[in-house]
Amino acid sequence: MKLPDRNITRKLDELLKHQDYEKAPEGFSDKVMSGLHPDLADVNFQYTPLISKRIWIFLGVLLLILFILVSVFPSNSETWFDIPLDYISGLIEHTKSIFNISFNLFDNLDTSSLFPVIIPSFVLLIIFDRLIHLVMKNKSFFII
Amino acid sequence: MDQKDDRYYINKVLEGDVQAFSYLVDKYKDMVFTLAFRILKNRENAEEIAQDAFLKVYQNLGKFRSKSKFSTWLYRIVYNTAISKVRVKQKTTMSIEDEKFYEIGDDEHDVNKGFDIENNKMILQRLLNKLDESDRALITLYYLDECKISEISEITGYNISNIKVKLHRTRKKMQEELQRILKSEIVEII
Repeated sequence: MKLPDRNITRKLDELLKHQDYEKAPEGFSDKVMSGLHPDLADVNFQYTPLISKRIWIFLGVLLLILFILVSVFPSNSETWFDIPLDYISGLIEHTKSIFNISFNLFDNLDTSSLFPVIIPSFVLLIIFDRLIHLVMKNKSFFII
Repeated sequence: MDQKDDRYYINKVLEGDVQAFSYLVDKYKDMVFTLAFRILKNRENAEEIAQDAFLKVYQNLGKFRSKSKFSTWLYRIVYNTAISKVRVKQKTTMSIEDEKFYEIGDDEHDVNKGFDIENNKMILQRLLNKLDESDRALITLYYLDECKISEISEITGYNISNIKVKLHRTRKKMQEELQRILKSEIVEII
């Protein structure tokens, strides 16, 4: 005597649908947790980038705008662009004289240093920051 | 939401908060234990494998990339650890506990009490006993944890079409065994 396949299929579906998880033994979690130690975990040297991707994108866009502005309005012409720079450098000089600061860094902060110094520095900083992040994230790959 | 929760606690563990790992243990312990038990058919061994799997996960948490779900990664570790254990065991003799497990499962008279929950559980156990360890794992992942075929593929290492074929064959095998069980029950009633 063979039972109809339809009934068997329905019964099997019911059995599979209503199956339960086996309960983990009493105190299972405690046993697992007592076996863990912070030093065992691969948690050391988790490097988080200093500045998030979003901020880097914002800075990049800002630099791009600055780059375009400087290209369109050269620093030796009398444009609005020179005004804030002069004003800022004046402020810096004033601050330096008050506090007797001797270094000369801000003297170089004019538009001529934007292309050869500031932009490449930013780019290098971005690359360095992301590179450390990448190396630390895949340190097993680099070690092997 | 679940995956976001998992990621949150994983990050906490990676930042050095060991206790955050207990959230992941509590959330997945039953499924991990069930998967190990279905493969090994022995509670003590299943507990040992489940603990071992959680320890491995903890030690390698920094390598988890979130390309797949955390549960998929965890089940893969459980599956591989349990299957390796079975293969080692198959080379040696069968333990006393395993024999007991089979005896309980194959007792024809125990299923003749009607289809209440306990009996359903026993019948399912008998059906699972007729399958090999990888098929039992497939059934558990697909029907109990409702994993997608692609996730099962990641866990077991079988390709997608292979899993579909295996699931189809396993169902067929279970149907045949169920037919046999129900038939013997009807004969006994008559």
